[in-house]
Amino acid sequence: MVKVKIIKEVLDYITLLFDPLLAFLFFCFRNRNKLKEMQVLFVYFIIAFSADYFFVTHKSTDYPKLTIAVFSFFTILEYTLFSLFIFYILRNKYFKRIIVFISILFLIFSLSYFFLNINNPKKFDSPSASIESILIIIFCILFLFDQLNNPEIVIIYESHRFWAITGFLIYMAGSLFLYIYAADFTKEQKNYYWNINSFVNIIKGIFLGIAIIMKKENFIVHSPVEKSYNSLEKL
Amino acid sequence: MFLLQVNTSTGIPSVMFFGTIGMLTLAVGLIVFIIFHQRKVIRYQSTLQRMEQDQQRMLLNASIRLQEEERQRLAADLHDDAGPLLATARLYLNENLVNMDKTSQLQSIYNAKQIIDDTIQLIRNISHSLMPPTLKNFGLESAVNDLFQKISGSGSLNASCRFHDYKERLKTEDELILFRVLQELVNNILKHSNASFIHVTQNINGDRFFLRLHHDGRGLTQSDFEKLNKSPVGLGLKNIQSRLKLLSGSIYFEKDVSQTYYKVTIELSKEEIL
Repeated sequence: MVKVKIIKEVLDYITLLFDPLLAFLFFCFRNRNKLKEMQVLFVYFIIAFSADYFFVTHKSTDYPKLTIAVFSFFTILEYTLFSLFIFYILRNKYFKRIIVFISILFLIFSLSYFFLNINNPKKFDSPSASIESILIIIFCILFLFDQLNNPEIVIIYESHRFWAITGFLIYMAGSLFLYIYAADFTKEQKNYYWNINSFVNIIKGIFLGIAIIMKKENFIVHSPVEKSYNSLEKL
Repeated sequence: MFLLQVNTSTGIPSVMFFGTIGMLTLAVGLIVFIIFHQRKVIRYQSTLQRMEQDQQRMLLNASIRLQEEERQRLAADLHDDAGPLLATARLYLNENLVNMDKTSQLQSIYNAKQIIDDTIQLIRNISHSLMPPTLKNFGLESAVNDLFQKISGSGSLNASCRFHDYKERLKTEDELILFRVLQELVNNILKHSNASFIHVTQNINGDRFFLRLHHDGRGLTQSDFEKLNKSPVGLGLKNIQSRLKLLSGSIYFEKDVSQTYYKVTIELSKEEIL
């Protein structure tokens, strides 16, 4: 058990360090990250760092109400920022409307759930976090579908958006079942299983780091056929 | 609730464990699938691009070869016909002419004049073959009529045409392109089809301009046309294709439903040519 605890602490600290590191990377490559969606990511790093710092420095048993409040608001903010990121990068207006409509419903649900359970707080806001994961996974799939139907994009992994979405997708897919069960975990189980969250969080951080470092001008690549027509026109 | 109760021996929900593994596998699978799909699309587009380039190269080659053939024909006409005629006329008009008696002088001048008239006619014919005067002065309908009268006059085949909606003439260069395409099609029919009639109709439907050519000989279907177009032979057909490309037009070869005659439809956008 001691070994598990050590692993947890190491992963917790790596996770804690990752967000400021990403914010620093963002600062270093600020000229490449002037797009709206990248600014959203920067805000996310700050909020994620603040939340992680709180969880590392406070024991949840000492302040149950505060802990659940931080969890709940972090879930809401994380959802808002992720969905805003996806909203900015989607091209299909119909998908954008779906995101707005679902987001309103989700925010109403999360806030209602939080205020209804504030006097009887659980260890974790499982329903909100689980629904958040499912929705973000769906939005990521919508984005990928949108990209597949976009004739301007040939090499999808040349896009910073793709790497960011891959990070979100792996993070949410890896955390979904954890969030579903997290409210009912014992302390040992939490120590043991929260490592999964830290692990996918680190993977997400790596992918977001790639998205930050990538050159953004390379995003739109004309298709070979289009290139061919262009070259023929020049003849 | 049942799922929540499915625990492993350590008291940890196995559903969570397998669920997480499953979700991660699905997420990674989805990403890998998309990357591979994209690569497949790239390969497909590259093939398409290569095919398009090959096709363009073939059309360009055909057009250059035709230009060269046309130049050679012109050079041959000028060298073999006009050259000797003018040389003969020069012979009649040599320096000795002044030393000849009056009758011989008149005879020489008369002969030279005849030869020069012939040369003028020859050059006029060459010029007409380059740009038919009827087409230039009276338009496509008259030029096609003129061409068909000459063909019918030979007695071997009956050629006729009917222009239903041709009150407004097309741009001169577009008329010339269409005339050349029709000429090429008619030449092919004369050479290969053994037809007894050719009939051309023109009409406009909405914003589309149609020229239809019917004949009862041996003809081509669209698949034959495409096959010939992709092969190094069929220079004339490639020329038709490249000419129509200039007008953003299309051509369709088919056998009529009654299976008695072949039909060639040339379709153009009215906006493009008017």
